Amino acid sequence: MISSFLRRPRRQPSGTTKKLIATLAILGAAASIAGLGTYATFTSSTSQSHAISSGTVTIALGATGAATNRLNIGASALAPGDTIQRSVDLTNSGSLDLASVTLTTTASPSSLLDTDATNGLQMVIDKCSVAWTESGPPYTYTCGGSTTSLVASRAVIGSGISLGSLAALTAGGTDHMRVTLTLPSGAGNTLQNQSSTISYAFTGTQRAATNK
Amino acid sequence: MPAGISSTGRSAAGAALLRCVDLLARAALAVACVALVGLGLLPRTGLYRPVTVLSGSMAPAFSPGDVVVVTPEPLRSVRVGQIISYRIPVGDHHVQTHRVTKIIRGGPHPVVRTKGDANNTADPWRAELHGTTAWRVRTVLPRVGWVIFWFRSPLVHSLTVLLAPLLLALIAVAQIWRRPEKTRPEAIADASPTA
Repeated sequence: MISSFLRRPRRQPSGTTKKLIATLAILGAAASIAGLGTYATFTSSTSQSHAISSGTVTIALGATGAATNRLNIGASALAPGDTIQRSVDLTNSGSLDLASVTLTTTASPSSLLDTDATNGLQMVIDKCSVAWTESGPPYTYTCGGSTTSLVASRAVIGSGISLGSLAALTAGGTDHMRVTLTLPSGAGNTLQNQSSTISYAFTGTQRAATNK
Repeated sequence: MPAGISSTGRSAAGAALLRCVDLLARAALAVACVALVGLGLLPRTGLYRPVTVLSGSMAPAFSPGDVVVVTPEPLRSVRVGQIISYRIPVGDHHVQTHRVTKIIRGGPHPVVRTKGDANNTADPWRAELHGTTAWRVRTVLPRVGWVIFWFRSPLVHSLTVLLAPLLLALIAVAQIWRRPEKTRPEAIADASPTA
């Protein structure tokens, strides 16, 4: 009985076995030549302006009303050579590391203060390894740790300005940043009595996809 | 003889089971052939491309592990609302599949803004589409990508691409060396569907 049960399989199923092995071989071949991968990256952004404070999803600015975010404090009656310092903390409150964080600044209402790239407002962004020590108002900041330049002096309005290697690229990381706006001492009479509202939008892009 | 009867009864049941297994094997083989032609060979004609989704920014339209089928779309006819696959203009220039939310500039090389349906903001770049054609998502094959990934994992990959063909070759060699009188008719009957 057993022998007849086994004899059949021995002669017959070599076809079935072959079919199953061939199935695996063909599926393996199909998978190895099928398609290229597509990444649908997560992007998340948060914005902050002098007039309005807004919420966050993955990257967040510090709370307003303290040294963690002074970007909502305006400045008036600037004279050429004047400097505005504002501190802001940027935190990666998401669970993903980021490939880059960029800053896009826009002005609404706009004026010569932001449209004149040479004599209008110039922007510098530094970060401090510890929280900035604030004094004022008018606010000025000193760093008790080490200072790193994030954005060298440039016109205040820009799109996709790279902020370099931030601690906030890592999930849970925080950067203590200082935004310094200067009205160049060469600013002429045309820049008198101008008024702009500058909005700062920080955009984090997800790190490259990897194997998990 | 009772033992003999029961023996033939069992072997008849066994044969039915084997036929059933053989039928399933044929079905699996057919599915494998369809997969090979549909995912591996036909895309080489350029009529369509299957693309595996790796992350979830387009949920719920499609999710990681799905395969989306993209077809060529003339660059001039890219419209808002279409989901297109393209290489992003920044970073590692990977292929990304997102929905067009704005045509900033039309023409032969349109500049578009894209956004993942599940993201809260648009992608932080303007993409100028180059080349001769855009690739537009037409169909979603749910979860097929996971199967492809599984077959691509190193162990399964070597088992299927190296060991399985080796086994087939060994079986073929064994059959060639076997005595011809007994095996020949069955070998031909078995070999023809797989050949």
